[in-house]
Amino acid sequence: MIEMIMLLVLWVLVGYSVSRLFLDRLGLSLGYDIGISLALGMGVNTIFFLLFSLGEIRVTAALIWSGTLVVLALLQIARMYFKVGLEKEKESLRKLIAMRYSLTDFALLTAIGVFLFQLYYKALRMGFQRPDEWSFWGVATKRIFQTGSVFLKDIVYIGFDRYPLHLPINAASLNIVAGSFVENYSRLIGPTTMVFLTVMVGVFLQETKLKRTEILLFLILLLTAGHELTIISALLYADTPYAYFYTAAIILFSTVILRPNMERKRIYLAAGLLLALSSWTKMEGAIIGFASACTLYIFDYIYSRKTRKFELAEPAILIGVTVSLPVMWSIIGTFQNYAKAGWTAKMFSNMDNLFENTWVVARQMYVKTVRRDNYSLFWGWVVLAAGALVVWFRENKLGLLLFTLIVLNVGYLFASYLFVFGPAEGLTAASFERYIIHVLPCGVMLVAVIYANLKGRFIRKDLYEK
Amino acid sequence: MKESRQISEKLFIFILFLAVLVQGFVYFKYPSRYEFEEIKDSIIQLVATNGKYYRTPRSAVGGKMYEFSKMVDRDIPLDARVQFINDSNDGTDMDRYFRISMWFSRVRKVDYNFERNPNLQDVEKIMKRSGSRYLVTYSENMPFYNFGVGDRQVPGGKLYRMDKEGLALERQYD
Repeated sequence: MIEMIMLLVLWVLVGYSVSRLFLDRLGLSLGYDIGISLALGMGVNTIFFLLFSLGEIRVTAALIWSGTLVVLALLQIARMYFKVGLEKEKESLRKLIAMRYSLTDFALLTAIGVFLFQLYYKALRMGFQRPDEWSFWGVATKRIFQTGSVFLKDIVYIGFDRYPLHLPINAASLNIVAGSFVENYSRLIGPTTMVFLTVMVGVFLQETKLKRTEILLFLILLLTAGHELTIISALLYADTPYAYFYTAAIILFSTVILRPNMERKRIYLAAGLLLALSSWTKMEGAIIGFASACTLYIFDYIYSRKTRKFELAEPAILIGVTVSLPVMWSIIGTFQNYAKAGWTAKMFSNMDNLFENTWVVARQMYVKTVRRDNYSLFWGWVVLAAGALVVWFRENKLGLLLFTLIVLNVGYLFASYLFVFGPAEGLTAASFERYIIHVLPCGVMLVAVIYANLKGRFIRKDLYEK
Repeated sequence: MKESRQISEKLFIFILFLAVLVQGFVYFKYPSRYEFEEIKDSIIQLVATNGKYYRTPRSAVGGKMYEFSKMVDRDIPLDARVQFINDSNDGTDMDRYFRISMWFSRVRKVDYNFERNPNLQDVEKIMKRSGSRYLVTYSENMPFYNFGVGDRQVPGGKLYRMDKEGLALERQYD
């Protein structure tokens, strides 16, 4: 267990160093570096694992420790070489120490801490429980742990051979350094990504210039969004890590909307990298990642076309990096003769009664979203915010971007149920309550942006007008 | 003017606070049907079987399906490919076999066939296609398609081996 925590800390340090090196010139707050650190650290570990597997070298605990430490050491040397000092850290620490919390803020912060802590408690007290844990994520993790390689040909059953392995690779790495495979401990990644997702959303909320109390209230709104979010975050499921990578990419990208004069290429590359990680976390991530990258670029292009010249390199970087990991895995899968994904056999099986099915699927999606024992009121706030955006705040660029991404994701799921899933899953909108977690943070961000806008309209004009 | 703005801002925060309070109230008032303790009664019941067979026992002894998995893992040669078939009449699909293979201690080549309740000829065809030499079936007290005999409840697990004459029972675990 202690080895696992140490490795998680090392990943955070590696990711943080990468972020500091790469984003230093952009003048972003330290919160961004901390927020994306785990994602980048996990990404470095995944690439590391993949390269050794390609070289047919079995990944062992010694290799993970030494590799991670060497990468960390090299990053520190690079920081010295590129003169990325500790001034930003010292300044942030000074501000943190000087910060005064009111009793309300302290209570809200404690509530957030307790909520996140109980995710760890839930995760660690039981072995695999849900079918997807033992049918794919758990099996893949265990096989990577046993073989020390990402190539699971002939080991994982037909139908899942081409599934993305970002989560199992990292969960297996934790087990490898611990020296034994423990189902409960494999779940450490879920709550940890939830912690960093909360940090990332908090960083975004700071950009909306809301007060600290309001930011903390919105974070509680996120954490108590629904039981499905709480439960899935405590399991070895890919949805929370996916939501974290995806949201981190959106938040990082949103800086170019908030600061039109910012240097684009670095942000595009970093956001593309985060989208690539999300694309290789879930099967549907590849298409969503590509569509989201296109959406992000189109928004930036439309809003900045009068002040900036078109550069082909920008969309090429963003979209190219985003699709890199899924394309690479697809090529590897072809060379390894991996079987086609199981769902491909069921495609277009819902085409009979398409009109009637459209209504059935829409109703099932609605029912799963509004059930009070799941999402309670959360999506109600998002619908209200979306209504206010369309009616009153159509000029809000960030609101429109978030709204478009939510519609894109929900629309993709809707189309999947109709055309990709078989009747048993499609017509019941199977797991919709889980899939919608992917854009849940975007929902909170949309509500916060509209809240700030409403506040700006009624009391302070300077609050949020971009 | 400044004072009225202050009041309105406090009003905004109060409304946000109320929204969070109401959402939090609903969250705690209506616990999820899918809470951990209820998983065995809801999710597992959803696949119409008993949850205790799916859990990894805390100790090595206990949990018949777990013990069966370990025994069958020992009895099958390491280089042999294992076939699992969808022999459930109860909607459990392949869950039982996902779990059994998850508990195997050794890395194995496994094949899952999702076609529901194949007969003997189908199974032999499936195994020839996948190149599997062993077939593992398991039932506890669930309605079970007794492979090769027909539809009746037979507890325990079985290990079949494919040879030149066809599929033969290698070992019965009761």
